[in-house]
Amino acid sequence: MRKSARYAERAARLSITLGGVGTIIAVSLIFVFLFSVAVPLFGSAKLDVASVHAADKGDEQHEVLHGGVDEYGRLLWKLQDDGHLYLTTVAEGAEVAELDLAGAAGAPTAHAMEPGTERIVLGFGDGTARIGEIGVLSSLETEDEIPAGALATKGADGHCVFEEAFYEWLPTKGLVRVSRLNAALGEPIEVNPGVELQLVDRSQLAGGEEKLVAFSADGTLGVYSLRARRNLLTGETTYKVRTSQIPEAVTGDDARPSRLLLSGNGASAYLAWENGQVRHYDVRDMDAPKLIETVELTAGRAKLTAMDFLLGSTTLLVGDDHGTLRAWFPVRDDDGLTLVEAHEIDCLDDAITTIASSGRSRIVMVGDAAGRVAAVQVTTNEVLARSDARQPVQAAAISPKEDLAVAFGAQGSAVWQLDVAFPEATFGALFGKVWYEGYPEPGYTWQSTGGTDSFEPKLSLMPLIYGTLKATFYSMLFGAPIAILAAIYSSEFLAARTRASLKSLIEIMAGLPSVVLGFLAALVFAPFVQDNLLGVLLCFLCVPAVLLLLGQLLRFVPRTVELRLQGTPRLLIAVLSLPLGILLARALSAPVADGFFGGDLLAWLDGRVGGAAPGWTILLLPVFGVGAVIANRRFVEPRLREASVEWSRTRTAAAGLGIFLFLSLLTLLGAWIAGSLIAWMGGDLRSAGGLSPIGTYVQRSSLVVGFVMGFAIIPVIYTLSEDALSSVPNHLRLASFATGATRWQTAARVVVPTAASGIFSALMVGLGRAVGETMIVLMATGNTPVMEMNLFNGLRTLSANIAVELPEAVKDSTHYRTLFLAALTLFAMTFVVNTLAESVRQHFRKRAHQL
Amino acid sequence: MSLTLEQSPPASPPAPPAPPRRKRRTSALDTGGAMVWATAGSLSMCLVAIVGLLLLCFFKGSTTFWPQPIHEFELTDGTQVMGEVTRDELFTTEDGRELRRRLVRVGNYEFTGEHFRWITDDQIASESNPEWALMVERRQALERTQAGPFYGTPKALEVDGEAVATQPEEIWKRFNELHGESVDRQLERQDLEKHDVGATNRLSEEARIALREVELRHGVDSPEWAAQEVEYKKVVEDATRRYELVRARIDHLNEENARVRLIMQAADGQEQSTPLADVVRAVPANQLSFAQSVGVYFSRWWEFLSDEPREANSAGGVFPAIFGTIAMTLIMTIMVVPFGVLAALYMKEYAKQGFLISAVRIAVNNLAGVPSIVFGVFGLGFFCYFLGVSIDELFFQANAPNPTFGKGGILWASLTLALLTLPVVIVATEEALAAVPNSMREGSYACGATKWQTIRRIVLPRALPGIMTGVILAISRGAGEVAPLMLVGAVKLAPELPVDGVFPYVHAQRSFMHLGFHIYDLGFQSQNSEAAKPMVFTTTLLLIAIIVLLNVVAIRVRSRLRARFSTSHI
Repeated sequence: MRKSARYAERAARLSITLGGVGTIIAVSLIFVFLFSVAVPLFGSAKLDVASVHAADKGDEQHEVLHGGVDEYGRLLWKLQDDGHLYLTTVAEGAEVAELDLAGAAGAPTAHAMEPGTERIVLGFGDGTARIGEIGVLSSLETEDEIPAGALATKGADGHCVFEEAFYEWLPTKGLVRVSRLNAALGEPIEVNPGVELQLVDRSQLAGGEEKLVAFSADGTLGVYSLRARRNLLTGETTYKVRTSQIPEAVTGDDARPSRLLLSGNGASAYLAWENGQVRHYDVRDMDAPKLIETVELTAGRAKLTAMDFLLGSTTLLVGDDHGTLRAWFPVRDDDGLTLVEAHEIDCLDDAITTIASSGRSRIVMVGDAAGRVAAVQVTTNEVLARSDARQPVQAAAISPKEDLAVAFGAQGSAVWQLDVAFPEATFGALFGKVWYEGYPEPGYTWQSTGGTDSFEPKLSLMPLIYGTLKATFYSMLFGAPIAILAAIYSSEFLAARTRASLKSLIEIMAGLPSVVLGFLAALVFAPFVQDNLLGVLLCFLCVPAVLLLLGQLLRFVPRTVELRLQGTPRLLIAVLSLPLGILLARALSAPVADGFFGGDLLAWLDGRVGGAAPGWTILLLPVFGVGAVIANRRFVEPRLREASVEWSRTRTAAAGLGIFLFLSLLTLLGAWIAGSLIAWMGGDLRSAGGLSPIGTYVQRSSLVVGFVMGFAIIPVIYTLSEDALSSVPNHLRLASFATGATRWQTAARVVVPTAASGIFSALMVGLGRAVGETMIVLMATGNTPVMEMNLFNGLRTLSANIAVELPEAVKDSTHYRTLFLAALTLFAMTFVVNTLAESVRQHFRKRAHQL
Repeated sequence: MSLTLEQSPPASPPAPPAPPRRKRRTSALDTGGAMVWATAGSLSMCLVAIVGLLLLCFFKGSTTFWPQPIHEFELTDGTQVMGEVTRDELFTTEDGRELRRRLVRVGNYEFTGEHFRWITDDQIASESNPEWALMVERRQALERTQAGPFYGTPKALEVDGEAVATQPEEIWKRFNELHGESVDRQLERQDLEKHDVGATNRLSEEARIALREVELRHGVDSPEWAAQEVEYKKVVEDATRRYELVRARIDHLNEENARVRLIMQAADGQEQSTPLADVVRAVPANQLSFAQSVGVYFSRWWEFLSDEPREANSAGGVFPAIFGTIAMTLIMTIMVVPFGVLAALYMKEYAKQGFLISAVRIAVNNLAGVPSIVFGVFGLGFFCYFLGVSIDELFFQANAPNPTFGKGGILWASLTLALLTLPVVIVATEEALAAVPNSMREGSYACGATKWQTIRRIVLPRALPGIMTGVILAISRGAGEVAPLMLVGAVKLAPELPVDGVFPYVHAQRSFMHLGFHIYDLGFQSQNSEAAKPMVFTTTLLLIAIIVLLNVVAIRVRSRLRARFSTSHI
């Protein structure tokens, strides 16, 4: 061997192996990568102890009412029941600032803070309430702008405390972030002059209105509407107060209530007692607040030990002395709003003392009297992490970025590094039913983005999987029979040359971009169907009927003519059935609409006119049709065949035609009678929802998708099943002919059973194509994530959902990863289907080879 | 009857004597039952649907540019409406009458506030086709006035505010004389704005990035930075000076162009004055001869194929989309062919055939059935966000926070589609390699050839047509795929082509326009969807034509290949 040849050989082997293996690896990388992005979704949250500070700040004698962390996770503040506010650093617990918030007014007697905000309200012994805010204000300054003292005290770790402010040097040169306590109370509002306020809560409504509820020592519960008026000259803010008392809230002997909350929309006030009872007041109408219901919030004899709102101030979180956390929210039903218990989470063992909601999600920090804390995702009922504060917890907080968690107790504060991972997307939330706030019951919901800050993403993949399967089902229902029947005709009844050219035509169809089909579906077909819905539906009935009728009629022609009409001419005759069927459907649509659908099919589908019987009839029609076919083959045909051997051609044809017409009529009649019967017994498909295929019509409906996507998968199924049918060895056909079988008998009883596995694999490939098709469903459906089989309703598939939402999803967010999971699901679905198809096809090939 | 081939006859007990055979003849029922008609019907439905669809696209797409007559309607309420009829249909009124209604493109958006208007026959008092009705297609280049069509009659042609022609014939004559110059000036201005202004901007941007690079490497306090800053200031000054020069020339052209104006009168009497430079084309539609109509038709086609889109893509051309589609497909092909062929060669000729390789084969086959959107997701996550961001961090730090490669672009789109079409090429190549008879390989070995020599001289040439078919099919699939592109870089309007005359000539990071995405965007995101619809049909026709052409070539190649095989087997 020449040297150069040897080198070439080696180089070729090396490069081909490298290139080949590399390509294969690259291909498998797809799965690995999708998996690696999706899998962190299921990672668990962590709560790691970061620092514990002794109680040198503040006073052990005083209880902590509220606490918080600044946006950057550097500073902590806590408000004590003597009205003192302390700002300390997270890292060392060094004091930054101290403030006597209430000043001369003394210690507050009532307090409330809105979750996720800095807004606070305090009630005082003199019957006044003061609204204010507590937070940390940060600003960016350059080194030249900050005081020299701060520059001098700059520590080695790049920050310092100087004159009640915290300075942190940023990585960008010369920039310093200065954080200061930002806390102030507004002017006192005379709520119940002279009477001590025991409980108070407030919320800010749209249009600048403040609503306040307060419970006073004299047992009155008042609702107050405040409108701020700013005096332009003095800059002072005064409040215009409207007052409304709820009569007989608590009479003298009753136990005193322990909690009072006002919902964020100002509609509901909740007054709770320690025994777990809560009164739910409707306070929307300032003039007539009324009691809606009284509910037992805790189970059994458990005591209510903590109650607060979840983010958004709609869901009530109730902690009891057994360490169980419950979430209640009002749901609209027939007689107004009622509280329902949506979640029950066993998170701790001792009495829950504090519940602190995060400002960005549905995570709460819960602390108990035994010093344990837990981070809980309320919506998914999940305890993300637990830890120990080693002292009874008085207040807790989660930082705005959800990276720190704090518990405050008598002996100081404990800080944890919090890693919440992806709490909204647990396995249960993605694939199971979840009870979201405001929904009447648990369900599968996909709603990934919303308008407000307190919006909770609802990430159930089930509606999308349902939509995918629904689109696939309807398109297979339409496309698969046509494709297979067409393949049988072209492989068994057509000459090889015609077959080849037809096949190329259909393959061109397979190569058509789906965006074209989607565009035609949405902008041409959907409006057309909208205008002629009944006609289109009738076409599905009329065209086959006309086709079969044509077949029956052609039996009247002499045998010599009939023989010539096989193959391609039969195709041309069959084409005739399309215009004839359409004409028939057109002619029928007006009388059918008037006779059965109250004159307007769309209104009928909406349930506005007509009765339930036509719906059942439509559903039963295929059942009766199949029944008629079976009856025909079982009972009529054998006898007719027996008899017709002696008959003339015309007589046989006439008998066949008569039987066909009779059976068709019988089918229609039978379906109508059975349908009327069911309708009479009750039950209307139109309002049934769920699996009912009939319901309200929308323009971008599954009907359009089924039709157009069915059309899109026809070429795939056709080509593959035609291949399978053609690869059945010819000697089988010849043997069958030799026994006297006709072409059809040979096709139906020899060729199709032999090729069955190949046809099955063609169906599977078609199914895989339908599952993953994106552009058609994206354009032709309304992309509504509903879970209904309604043929006239929209749907949202996994693929369309990805195409719509992924460009907007923030990288590495829960939403982003969930969409990757959706892609992975799609990948897995098609991979399973295709593997099945492939192995069946291999099997078939082997078998066809053996024959 | 079921098919059982190897059924051994029962050994015992001896079969009972067969019953006397009954005479059986084939009944007429057995020859052509309902099922045969069902099969024939199904096939003909498929064919009708395919042919119908192609014809629909062809008909709708090819008639878009034919000039339509302009109608003037006098309505019963006394108003005058002028425009082209775009749809003509019968509808049933609420009281049950059948009425004809027509959708008229009325244009003149600045006056009417609508692009289209339904006119029912009972609204019409009289209808005419005025001889001098003119349809003026306008662009928004010189003046920020309304773009889009204007229907009306010519009132005057003004130069420097003085009417030089007031009679329609005269106006039309003068218009044709002056329009060419105006358009030339307009084109020169466009060219200046695009290239020369762009070049000055690029100079200062490059200088800024160079400065930032020095800052990242040496810091702000370093002497290098100070030196670079001097350089930067010089460049910026230079760029500003150049810009002033170009600007002066543009201003001059604008002034020239603003001098010549066409005054049109709408049907309702309102007058509109448009600079000639903003007139793309004026069509006196009601007096065109057939040859002139053909002229307008082809001039519009030429604009469609060679120009950039106007009016939120609903008019003008699709050249950037054609360019983007072709460029993307080319890059994809360059990527997919070598790797696909290498992988197939490895699997067929080099790898040890066993469980592993057949598993890989099944996996590759399956990959052909994986939805394209999944590849898009992979492309976005891996190429754009992982590879692209890494490249940005390594090489384009100075450009931060603007992503260079860390976003969708033509390179990433091509790579994504290359992955998508890889299975097609691998499978086709493998099949083509398998179809080369082993006897040929053995003959080659017997002559002393090495494996590589055998592959190169014997196997590959024989397999080439098969490989070519696979490649063409891959190209046609890649060219028509839209879903993944929505994630990895196709945009509705790309200001710059991915290949141009500016160093380094090929800008692989740029996002691009694509015919398929253009169809989606026009059909769905367009504000004026009625006006966009004909354009979508034309774009569709173009895309279908490209893909059908590719498919036909593939089918041709395959049938030739088959013919060659059938002879080689003798």
